[in-house]
Amino acid sequence: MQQGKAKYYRRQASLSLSHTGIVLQNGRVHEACGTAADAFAVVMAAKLSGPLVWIGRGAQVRTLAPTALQAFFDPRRLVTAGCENRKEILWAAEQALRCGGVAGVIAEMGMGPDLKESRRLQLAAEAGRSLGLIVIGRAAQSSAAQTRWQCEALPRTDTCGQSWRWSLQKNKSGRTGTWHVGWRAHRKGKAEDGPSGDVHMVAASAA
Amino acid sequence: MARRVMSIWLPRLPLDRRVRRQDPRVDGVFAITREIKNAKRLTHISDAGIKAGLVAGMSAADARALCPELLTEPADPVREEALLRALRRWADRLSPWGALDGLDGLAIDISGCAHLYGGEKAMRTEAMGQLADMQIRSQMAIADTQGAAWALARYGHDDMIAGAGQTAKSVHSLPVEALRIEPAIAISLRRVGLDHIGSLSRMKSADLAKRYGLAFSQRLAKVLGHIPDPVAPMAADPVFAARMNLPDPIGLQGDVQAVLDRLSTSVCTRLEKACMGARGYALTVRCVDTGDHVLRVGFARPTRDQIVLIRQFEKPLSDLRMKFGADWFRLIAESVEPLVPVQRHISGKDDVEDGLDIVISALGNRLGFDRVRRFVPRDSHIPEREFADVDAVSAPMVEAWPKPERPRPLRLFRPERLRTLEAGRPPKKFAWRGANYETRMSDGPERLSPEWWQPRAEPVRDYWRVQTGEGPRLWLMSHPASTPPEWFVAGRFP
Repeated sequence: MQQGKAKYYRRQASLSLSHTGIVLQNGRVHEACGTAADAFAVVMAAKLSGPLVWIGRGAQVRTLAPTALQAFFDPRRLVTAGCENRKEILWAAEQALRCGGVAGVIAEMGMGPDLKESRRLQLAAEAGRSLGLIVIGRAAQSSAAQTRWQCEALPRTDTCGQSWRWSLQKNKSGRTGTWHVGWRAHRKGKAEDGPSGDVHMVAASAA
Repeated sequence: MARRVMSIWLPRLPLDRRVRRQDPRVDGVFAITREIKNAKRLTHISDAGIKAGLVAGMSAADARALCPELLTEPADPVREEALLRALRRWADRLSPWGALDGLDGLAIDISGCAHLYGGEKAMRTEAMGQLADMQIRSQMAIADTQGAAWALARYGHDDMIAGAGQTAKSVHSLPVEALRIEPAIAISLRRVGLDHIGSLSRMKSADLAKRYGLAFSQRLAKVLGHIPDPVAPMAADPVFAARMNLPDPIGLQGDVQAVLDRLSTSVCTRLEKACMGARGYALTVRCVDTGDHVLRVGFARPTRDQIVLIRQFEKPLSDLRMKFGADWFRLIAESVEPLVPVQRHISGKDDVEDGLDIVISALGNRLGFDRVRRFVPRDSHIPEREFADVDAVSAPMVEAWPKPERPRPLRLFRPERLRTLEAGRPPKKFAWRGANYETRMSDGPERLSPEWWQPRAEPVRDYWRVQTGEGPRLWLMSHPASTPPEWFVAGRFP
């Protein structure tokens, strides 16, 4: 049943990945660029509990494959919204962030939001206390986002695992840095609702 | 004023319903059947059937033996009740105080209404004429009490209108069945020689109560008017709508919001009282210059939450151009469904559903509900058919996703042809989307044969998981049958 007062899922102020020192503040908008930016978003979504929305151009959203998402979170938590243009994506992201019903909003765009657009998103995220993640396909602009991550996939010695290089290029409150991380899925028997895996450090490297 | 009740009996309502639908069978030997005591029995019989010797209550098998050309159809209680309800609404023209009376009758309190038609006789003639125009056969009687009118309508012979105070006299000669009592009691009354209502008047009420039960003596008293038996009118179907007329047009957004605030309070309170919610709301705004504009919002599930409703109307209202203002507003709840409070699940699973519903409604109202989608699993081994995306509004909640047997890519592309730079299986070096890649490691092939039951023949596919030296983990695909081998990128792993 819908409640008049919006529901808030995230009580804690921030999303921190255990042992790695990576912290994403809640109620803020974060940006991710690079070829593995969507994987970054998926990992962050896995650490959130609550409904998720994936917004992007219709053709782009349709390439998402839920079979792989299962390694990170339950695809039942996800709703996708296919938009026609950038304006619609921004509007949908703002609405989804503001409505307070979701824990995380992932918006895929070509060019990153500019100062004005990101400020609007930022205000919406604060109002709805949700985490916003902008996955930027082409290039980021100067924006009001809390953090900006450059995410690349790292070649590995085995084909099964995943590892990435996440470099924090901009951080409004805190240090920047670079992390080499991997994803380890939990074995069966873990709680159904909890995250289905954990991030671990592959190698630490200073910025 | 003395109470006057009109009883309308519709003896062949199920048949008349079919006559009205121009069913040709009713002209022949035709009957409506219903399962009674483990047998299909005739309940309503057409005129030709009665002439052929069929009687109500006969089993269908016996009737068919008697009359081989008999056609039957099972009763449709839902549609018959709908027709009866429609006739109840028609009866509002006689008097506003009408009620359904059993499955085949109406009881209408016409106290103080008959003079509008020029007397009870004229009123009865007029009503019977109107029903006859609707091809519905009826019998009507008017009396002081509901029970007497009922008895006269069904068992009366010539004078169907019992004058005021003439109740006892008018029902005197009617059989005891006219009291609307159980058949067993009627039989036992007849056994002792009490075969008409008049014969009961000699008995003491206490004796009758002792022998046949208190309900029986009360029933008799009701028919004779010794104890009151008022017609209980049906409540009108609730309408979840509210409207507002304004003396002067308004156009400021704040004013319109205030109007919507009041209208939604009224509608939502009524919905809450009725334990209902609506999936859609329509707000009609009558602009003084451009006429009516209907603004609609939809919801992912029945809703009666005022705040959510107002929030959804914000956008269409701000888009509406009201140059000279509007002076008439109406809010109506559409597709009203039951919405009962439910026990919340302690694990918080419902919260996820709630949150999703909020966001589905928020996005769907602007983008269109067909563009807000959700994934559901499908049973197939072909990667692009392992799942489907469906409208999030109408998506059924799946129990759980089956565990994937093999790793699958995060992004699944329609196969994109790559340019082979250095041949190999898979290619040692290739170019894709404007970048060059070098295969460092590969895992494959995973051979997937097409679904043979699909009408369009598809070639067999081989898939390789490839770790490129540049970082991205790609899913390469080729058709083993093709020479020289053509390579495609089918997906990208996280």
